[in-house]
Amino acid sequence: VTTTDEPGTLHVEQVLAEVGDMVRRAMLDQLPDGEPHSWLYALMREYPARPGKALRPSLCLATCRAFGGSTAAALPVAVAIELLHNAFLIHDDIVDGSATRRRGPTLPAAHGPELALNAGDALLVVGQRLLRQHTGTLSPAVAARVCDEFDTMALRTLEGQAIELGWRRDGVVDVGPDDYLDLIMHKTCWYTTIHPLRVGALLGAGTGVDLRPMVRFGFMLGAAFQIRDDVLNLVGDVDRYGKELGGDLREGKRTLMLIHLLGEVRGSDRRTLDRYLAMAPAERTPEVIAEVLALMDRYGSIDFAMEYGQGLARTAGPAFDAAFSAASSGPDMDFIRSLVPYMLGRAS
Amino acid sequence: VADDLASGSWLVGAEMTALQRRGLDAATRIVERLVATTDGTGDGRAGGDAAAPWPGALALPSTVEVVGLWRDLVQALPTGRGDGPAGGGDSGTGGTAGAAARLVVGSRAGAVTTRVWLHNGTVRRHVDVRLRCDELRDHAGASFPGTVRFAPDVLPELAPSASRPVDVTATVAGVRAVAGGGLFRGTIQVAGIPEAWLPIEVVVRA
Repeated sequence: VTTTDEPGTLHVEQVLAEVGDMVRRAMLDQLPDGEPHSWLYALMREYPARPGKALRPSLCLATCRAFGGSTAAALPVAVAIELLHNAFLIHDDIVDGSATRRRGPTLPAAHGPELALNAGDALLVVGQRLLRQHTGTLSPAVAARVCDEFDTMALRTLEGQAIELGWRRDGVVDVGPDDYLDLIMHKTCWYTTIHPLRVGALLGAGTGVDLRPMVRFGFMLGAAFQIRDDVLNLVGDVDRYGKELGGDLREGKRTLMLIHLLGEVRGSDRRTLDRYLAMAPAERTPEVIAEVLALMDRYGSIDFAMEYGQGLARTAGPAFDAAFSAASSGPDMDFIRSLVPYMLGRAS
Repeated sequence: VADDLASGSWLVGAEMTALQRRGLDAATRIVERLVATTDGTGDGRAGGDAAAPWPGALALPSTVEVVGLWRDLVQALPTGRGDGPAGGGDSGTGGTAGAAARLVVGSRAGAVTTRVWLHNGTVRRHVDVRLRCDELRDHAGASFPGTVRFAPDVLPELAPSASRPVDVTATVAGVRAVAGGGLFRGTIQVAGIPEAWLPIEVVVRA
């Protein structure tokens, strides 16, 4: 196990930055322009033009190459993944009423939810078009599997989104840690880690590759990353974390900490929590959020989430070894191996 | 906490604690269910999904598969298709997984039917699937004055990922059987699959 003090950190950031630049240029090249520019095409370019972490395309490209494929074989697919990711971000920002994204105003905040939704749909169309064009150059068997993978990824993500929104809309509180893991498997892990790993392996090794270990590795990595991210949303350093602290509490997001608290809290504390859950996000003042955060601290919810997630985090390394046992050693495998401590051991 | 996360110290340690193991076991159950439904079990690694997927991981206990089956096999989808003189069904339970099959019937002789769906979300094939209903009783212990039947009474096969409907018909036995109306509850079970069950309630209107 490496830590962030080791040289691997710089290597990971360098690769992510290089892939990010390459994919950003390729995404912008894919976006059409013309009229209505100010109501559609300009909006479509906003998120792709802002630097993101480029985790998904980096995973896809490195996995493809580690399994014997080329950058050319995977780049259009990696770009399609990132286009769909940007579309999902727009939709998320509308649903969550978020104000900022990648150090700028969200599309709905700047242009209204209607035009933002339309631009998000258009990004989906462009991503699908790119995927269709590229798979036409692949063998029919691989092309069919890659398209299936995209369909599966989209459905899993939508299922996860529906579960989370349903919990919030219906005030569902009788959920446990297992339900939380099931939620983030669908909502986050599949499209963030599992899908890029699986399509990368397919493109590199063809349809004979066993994709099941990719699910295991992707889930352990993605779920531990999500739990860590949720904890940092409460107790992180805002400058290093880069997002609004307590934003999840304001939204009423069912994090592992909140789920644990719901199972533990009693008496007047329970009434405080119930009142908070019944509030609309806009009604959740900093004082209310601080009160719930104090309850989480008092009932050990943050420590619980940390330790519960630790079992997954510590398994991500062995799961990587199993998933890449048939891959070729080299810089791409080194990069993915280094991603584990990078994603699970850094504050930003 | 933030320091532990930042330093990566949570990635290392000696033996796993009980809570860490609990998280890992839960994650393993979920991931193996998704692996089975996405990729099946017939290809790749020898030993099937019950084998430890990575060094040090626990092999899945047999109960895990059964729990997954319980979650996925039975789902109520009330359709409210009343077919007797006593009135229609009631779709008030919303038809979500884990909901009760709910039927509303009048106190005069008559029948009402609702529909239950069996979803086999597992990778196992089930044959001769037969539903049964235990005795319906109200809060005071009085028995439902009628019968509950299923159509078809046997499903010859329920393949992996297959969904099949079964109509549940509650019939009130006779005139003034339940003078003041009543609410009778019981359980639908699947013979041979003890973990698959569904609450049922029959409302008899006065």
